[in-house]
Amino acid sequence: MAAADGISLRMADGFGPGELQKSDLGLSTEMLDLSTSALDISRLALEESEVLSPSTITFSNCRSASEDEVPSECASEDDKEFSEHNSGYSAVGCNEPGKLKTRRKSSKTLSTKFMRKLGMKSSSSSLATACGVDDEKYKEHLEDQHTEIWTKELLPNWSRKQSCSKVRSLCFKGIPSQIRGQVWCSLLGNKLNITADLFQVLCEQAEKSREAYEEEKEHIENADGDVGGFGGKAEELLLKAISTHKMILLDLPRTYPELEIFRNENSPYRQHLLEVLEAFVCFRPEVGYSQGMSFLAALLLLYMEPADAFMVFTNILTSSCFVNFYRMKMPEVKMYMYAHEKFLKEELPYLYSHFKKLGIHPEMYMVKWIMCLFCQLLPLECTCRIWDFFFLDGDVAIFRTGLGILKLLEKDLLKMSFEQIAYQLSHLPSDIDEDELMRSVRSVQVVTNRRLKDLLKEASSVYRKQGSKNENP
Amino acid sequence: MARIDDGYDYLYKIVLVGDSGVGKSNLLTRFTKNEFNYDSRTTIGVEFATSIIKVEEKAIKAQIWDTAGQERYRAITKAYYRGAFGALILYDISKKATFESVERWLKELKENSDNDMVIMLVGNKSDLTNQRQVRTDEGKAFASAHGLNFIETSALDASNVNEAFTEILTEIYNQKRAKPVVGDKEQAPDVEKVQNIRITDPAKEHSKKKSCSC
Repeated sequence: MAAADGISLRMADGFGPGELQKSDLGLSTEMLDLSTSALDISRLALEESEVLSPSTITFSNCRSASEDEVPSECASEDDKEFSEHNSGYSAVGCNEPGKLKTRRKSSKTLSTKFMRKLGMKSSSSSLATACGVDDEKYKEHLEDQHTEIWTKELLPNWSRKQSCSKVRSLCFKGIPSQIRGQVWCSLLGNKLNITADLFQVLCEQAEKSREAYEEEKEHIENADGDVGGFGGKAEELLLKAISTHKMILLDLPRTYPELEIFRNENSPYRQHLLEVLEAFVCFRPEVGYSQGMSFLAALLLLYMEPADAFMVFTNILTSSCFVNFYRMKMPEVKMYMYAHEKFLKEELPYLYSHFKKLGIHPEMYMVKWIMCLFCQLLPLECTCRIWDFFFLDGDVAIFRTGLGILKLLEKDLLKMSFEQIAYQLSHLPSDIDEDELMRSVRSVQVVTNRRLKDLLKEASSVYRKQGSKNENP
Repeated sequence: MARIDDGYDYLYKIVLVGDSGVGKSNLLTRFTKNEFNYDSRTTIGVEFATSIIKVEEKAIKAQIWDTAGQERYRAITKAYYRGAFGALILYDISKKATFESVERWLKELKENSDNDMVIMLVGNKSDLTNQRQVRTDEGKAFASAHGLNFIETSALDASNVNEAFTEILTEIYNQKRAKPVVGDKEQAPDVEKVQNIRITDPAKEHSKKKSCSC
């Protein structure tokens, strides 16, 4: 399928369109030909509007620099917060990191700073249109407006405002990325009273056991000359112990590998991810680490400091849905599948019959969707929009989103074979538009908290009866 | 998607099992798409892909299920062993512990499968010659002691990947060729069988309509 990514240029003071160097952007001449028209369009747009600053030009159909090309001197000057936090990581293929960002087709919620922070890559895209530029500017304008409402009106009066309809409607529209972390924290609350101090203590505890392990590893390495990196007996020891630490270490490089800040093993984000996960294991040893968790923690770390990420992570994991899935508790997991199937039957009866006919059962897709809360399945911006909704409504949002995705894809799915569906549902289209997705999710009416509870109850009695009735295979 | 709509004469379901990080997903993408991903992601739950090969002028379609390696996922993944005609147990030749887990995986397969599966032991990452911790003869010896096929592969440099799948599919074909897949290719007879057997799932109770192919 055609990727819909492009490059968007944010012009700050003293950086006019004419000053663009194609080498700055990693663009070919051919690309620049296309981008010239985009520049003209943007100039027109700039003349028309003084409202928006900084304004944005869209280079669709431009490719960003090759995926391997990661300039080392990309540290940003105009972004102290990010520089302090994570010097050396920035947008791929750009010598002017403050001014370049990559984006999806119509996405505007991920800010320049944010995209840069991610070291985000982009692939090819569609042609720029004047409409696209206007759309960009409009979205940016809206985002600014929303940010103002959140920061001036809602967040300062949170206890009074948290259940007002404005909060709900703004969440559905997408929380601006610069305040997303803050809003998520407020929406979720902190029932467990997790503090930064507690996180610190847990980190130290985890660190101690890690040190003990490292020592042992070093000891063996010294005894065995041919050990290089992760090889040798040290690795043997590492893998022999079916330990959580081992599994987390294995998963760190396999979590958002497409984002430079997680791919690079020296990145502080990698370290933060390890800390959050290990602190959680110390905090909830009975749940431990489960594959899938790393994606959740990583996404939180994109938007907040490690201590906040830990606070949100542990609070999310009080949800019985998550706990049951991460512990792979049966028949609890099946009870959730039962509920999903009932919802599916009600909301999308044709698709339900089609799935039944072909033998597509919900475990085939829902396990993955739930365990990483739609991370790695959808474009980042889509995932974040789903998370905005999740922080608002909790577990019920997961099931509503599941149906929303199926509803959006229903037409295609109805034409597909078993194999095509099995593949499609674990490789969702990468060009899903986040607004369209959220409209689809909102149109799902059958999933409510009450219905979910009732269905889980129903499932529980069905499974209890069945469990006692037939134990034979 | 790899040649998903092609016609075929036989359809065999195969599962990939083995410890986390041994390269199951990359072995699968090397076989089905001829791709290798250095930045591979953790597999959550199960992944799925198909590919078609020719054996004695017959088109054999492999429906391959790539399962998550973490222990706790077995509660979910073992359902996929049912109806499978073959399994590849992978280990990483540069990590002894993954080889030591093979016995557990074998037991797991035997306990949860309903077919007489063709099982192949696969020592992956054979390109890591300097870091080798499991000798080829150790793998061979284990395989022959347990009646398994054996091969060493590298998903990275593509060596023996096609051979591994071709060998297991050919062996399944030789075992099953008297019983061709009956019915519509749109259906997934082996997966249907998974449903029929999963008695603990009430939602599936009323779906026992189709007969299995095997």
